Amino acid sequence: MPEQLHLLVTLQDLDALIKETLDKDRRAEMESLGFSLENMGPLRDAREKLTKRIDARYLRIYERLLAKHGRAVVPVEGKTCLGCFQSVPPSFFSQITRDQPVKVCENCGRILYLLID
Amino acid sequence: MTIRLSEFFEEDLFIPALAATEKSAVLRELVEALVRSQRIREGEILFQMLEQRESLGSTGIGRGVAVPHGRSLAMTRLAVVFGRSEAGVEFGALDGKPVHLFFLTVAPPQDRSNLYLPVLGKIVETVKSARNRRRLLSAKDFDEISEILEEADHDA
Repeated sequence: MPEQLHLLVTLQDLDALIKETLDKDRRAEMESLGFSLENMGPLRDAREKLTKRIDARYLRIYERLLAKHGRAVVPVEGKTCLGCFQSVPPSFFSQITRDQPVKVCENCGRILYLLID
Repeated sequence: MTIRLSEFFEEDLFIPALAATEKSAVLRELVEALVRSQRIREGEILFQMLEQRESLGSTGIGRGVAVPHGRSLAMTRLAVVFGRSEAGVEFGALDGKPVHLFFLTVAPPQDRSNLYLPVLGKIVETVKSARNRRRLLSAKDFDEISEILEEADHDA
């Protein structure tokens, strides 16, 4: 996987974790199971470090999509974008090039991540 | 929702004796079982998410048990990796004691089956029993593990 896409997927996982931790109901559910969710500081630090490694143009796209959809990076499963559930065109599956390591869904604009080859 | 925990444990995701002796290495070894069994491709992405989850607070819930968990884009479906350490590993557990039983529980963000939280809950419930913990630690093979889990499912 190209490094920039790898970083974006990692950032999406991290943002989902932060969101879940800030969600009162979800937090209460986890705490009721005995899990500790006390320390948000390191997550914010990790996010800052991670975003510094992402190319500014991709980060801009990511942040815009995150604000719009709540989830900026989505998997492609089969030939379907799991963000909008529309088919992705065959061109998506052509080789990812150095000039274009990050591809977006032509329908919803989300960043696509091919889950399984 | 009735969860049968025995249905979520698989033989190739059972590590009878973890080689790792410290927290980060345990997480890597558990993730490696998913990569080796071709359930995931991008182990590093999952590992990083788990490390970040641990930075929130240890998933070592005490009594020698840890349930590292989280959702990741690296996953295609929910999976449980069960690993054991006879010597125990310092995992920053809530009671400060070493951890012997590890239940890595990971799911995709869009877990359509909605089983992630119920499975986590069922694992926590099952290991509350000292008898179950003792038996899970001493079981000779995966068949015995399955029997213990089936009994726990039946008793619930």
